[in-house]
Amino acid sequence: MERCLTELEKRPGDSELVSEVFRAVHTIKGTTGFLGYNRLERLAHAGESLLGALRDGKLAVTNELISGLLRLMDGLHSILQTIEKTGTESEQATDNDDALIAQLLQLKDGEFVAKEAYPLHNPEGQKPKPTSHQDVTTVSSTHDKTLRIDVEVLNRMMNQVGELVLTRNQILRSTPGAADFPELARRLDNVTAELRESVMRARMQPMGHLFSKFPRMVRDLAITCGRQVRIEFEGQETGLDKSLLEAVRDPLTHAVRNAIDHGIEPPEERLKAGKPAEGVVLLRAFHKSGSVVIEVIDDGAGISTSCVRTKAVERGLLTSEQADEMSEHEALQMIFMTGFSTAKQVTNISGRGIGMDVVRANVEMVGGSVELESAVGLGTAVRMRVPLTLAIVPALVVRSGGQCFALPQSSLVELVYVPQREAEQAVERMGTTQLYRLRKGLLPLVWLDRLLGLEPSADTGKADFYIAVVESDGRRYGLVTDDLNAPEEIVVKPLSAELRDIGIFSGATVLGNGTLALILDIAATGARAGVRQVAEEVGVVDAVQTQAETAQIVMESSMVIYESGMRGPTDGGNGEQMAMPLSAVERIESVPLSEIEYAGGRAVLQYREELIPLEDEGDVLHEMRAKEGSATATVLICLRPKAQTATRVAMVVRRVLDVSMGKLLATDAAACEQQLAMVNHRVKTVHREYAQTIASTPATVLREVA
Amino acid sequence: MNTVSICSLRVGDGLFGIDTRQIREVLGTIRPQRVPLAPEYIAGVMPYRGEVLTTVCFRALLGLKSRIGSNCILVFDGEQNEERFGLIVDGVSGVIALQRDSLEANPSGLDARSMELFDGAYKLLSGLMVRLDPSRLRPSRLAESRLFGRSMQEKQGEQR
Repeated sequence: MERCLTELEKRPGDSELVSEVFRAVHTIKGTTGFLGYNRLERLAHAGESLLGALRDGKLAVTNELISGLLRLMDGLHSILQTIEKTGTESEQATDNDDALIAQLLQLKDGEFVAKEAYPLHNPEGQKPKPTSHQDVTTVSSTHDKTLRIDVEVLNRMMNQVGELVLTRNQILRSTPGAADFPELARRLDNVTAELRESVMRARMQPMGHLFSKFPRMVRDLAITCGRQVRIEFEGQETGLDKSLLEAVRDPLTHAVRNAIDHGIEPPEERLKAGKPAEGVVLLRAFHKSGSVVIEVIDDGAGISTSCVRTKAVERGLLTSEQADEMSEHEALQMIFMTGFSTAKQVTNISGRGIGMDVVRANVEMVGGSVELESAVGLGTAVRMRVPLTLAIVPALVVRSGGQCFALPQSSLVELVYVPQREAEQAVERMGTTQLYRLRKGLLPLVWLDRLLGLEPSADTGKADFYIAVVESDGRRYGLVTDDLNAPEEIVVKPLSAELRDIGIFSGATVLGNGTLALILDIAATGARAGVRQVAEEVGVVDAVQTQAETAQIVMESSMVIYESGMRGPTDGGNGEQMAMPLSAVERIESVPLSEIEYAGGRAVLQYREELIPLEDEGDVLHEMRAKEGSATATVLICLRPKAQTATRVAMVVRRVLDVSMGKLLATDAAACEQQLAMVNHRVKTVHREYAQTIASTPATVLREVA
Repeated sequence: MNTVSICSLRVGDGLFGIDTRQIREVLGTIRPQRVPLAPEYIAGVMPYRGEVLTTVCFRALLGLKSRIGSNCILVFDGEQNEERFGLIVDGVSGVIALQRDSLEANPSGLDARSMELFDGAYKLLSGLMVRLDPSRLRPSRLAESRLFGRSMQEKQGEQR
């Protein structure tokens, strides 16, 4: 019903919605009358008559009307809660809803008058009182403790439990030496896996359940703060464990509240800044590498890092030197410190300095993490990352200093084995930091045994070791361990508070051999070892479509320089040198000519089970076929920029020359046909279709350069 | 009822007693998994009925060196919001019934650490049996009092 009402405000003409709400109220009235709840019935009746008038087209949908109806809903809700608590309708004899009923009647009659006399104005005394903050946050407690499960799922679970009991009986009768024992063990393994799977599935709830509370909250908040806000959702079907869903409810509410109160500017300011008066808050949920990411993105004013720095120094959280040394990313994360608020004034909704730190504490309690990204003038994104389920995670068990530790697979990037003969040369030093040359980059190394103060098992440089390349919370480093055990699915058990306080263990688990292993918190371990955060390469801000002027910003980005099939007038026999943004190029492939096939006169290429068209400007293929000896063509596999879904196209080029940083030149009115870029002090033409790829992602590009 | 049943324990040369009603279970020799960087009095963690049990080493609390050999783990239930925890002692001798009035409160001359750990003593014919109160030995309480063993991380900080 709540959803319907907020929907109704957006689409006032929708009679379907009105009827739906009407039916809901009517049902409440009917059943309560039947059950003898008179108070509820009276209120529902008042609401029904108002809705009836609305349905018959006697009333127009206005803000005030919707507010009234929402108040009616609150009234019904509170009575229902009272019934739940006490079994009777009212706690005191004085409790009644006359005021509310009168209001509803007035709304009905008043609107009648208004419609006849001044169709556009509301009668005096009908000013909507913004719903108070407390009302919005009341959450019924009993709702959270029950869970609806499909009977089908429950039956399946029962079957599996039956199977489990049978298998147990057989195992009890059997002996480890018996011929059928391996078979039984395997069956037990199967049944356990199946049972786990169904229990997990039963616990999964779509994010939409959580999101459904927000339209109403956003509406009320927007009215209170005097903002115009639209809320949008993405990924409502993303499943998340029930208990986790409850755990992120408060942090999410907080983040949305912050976005509206601090993020979105008042309409006048937005218009001045060249944005539409209505701000957008986007709630997005999706799965990513074993965790669920929930983002709250607004297109508001953003957070100024210099402001954060000054505030932090003012509050004595940092010295000014420390503040100057911080990277943009680090400065932004200051928001999460206790007692920090950049709000210029404390409001009713948020900004008391208890805010983001609570969000972080809540999310971290369930093993998640929170990040913040922001660009001044463009908006802010709060990204919460929570594990799919609390209970079971895939992990790699490593040995170091004679003890076992579990690394969550979600933060594991790759494993490197350093054999004994290379051990000495592999580790290089820069000051006190030890580094490993991994392909082209330098990877800071962290010795797990030394960090934890364990007895080193052997002198480094004398024995072989493994490097687990891990990444979490923007920190990427190599964790040096003595040995690797098999990957295992581990059952996470919480540690007691005193051990949690050490900070680098997120839990413990019982391994297959019965011993305990501590689970390492990769981000915290890196932080303790002094590994710095590297700003993430991909900005989120571009996810919110902003109409801000972007063309004026001079941007730099990596470009692939290639020789195209077209012959330039000055280059003699060679093709013209052109540039293509690196972000658009997925792969550079060398394709044998024999693999290029023709369909309907057009060249196509089979690439990873996908048929992609070949673009051949200047007929390079034809030329190559004519020439003996050149059996392979160089092809750039590009993502087509404008298409909604990722479609690929292969571009035939003579050869790839270089990859280097280039600056996109400001679009010249005269030469608007061509986008030019300055790469290594030479002008190159940017492939026309892909020029927009650069222009549309300014935040990303700027950050990469910074 | 004027008697209490007390479980008597040996740690080092000392004799200690805990009210049997407060003990949930006594386990035989188990070596808990050490937790790096944890305070010295935390002996480690061990699996216990599907949970991870934090254990406190009583020898470390008394300032004795840890020893290799058999030991006993007493498991105490959590009160209200507190978690379960285990206490490692050298051995359990048995259960004896003692007169309530043989309990003497902590003498005033006791040092701060002992004052924190002990809860009076029973006067036995053979000597004194120090009474222990499990709620005083709770890891969270020990961490608050800050009287016992600095954690490894503080030590590391000093070295730097």
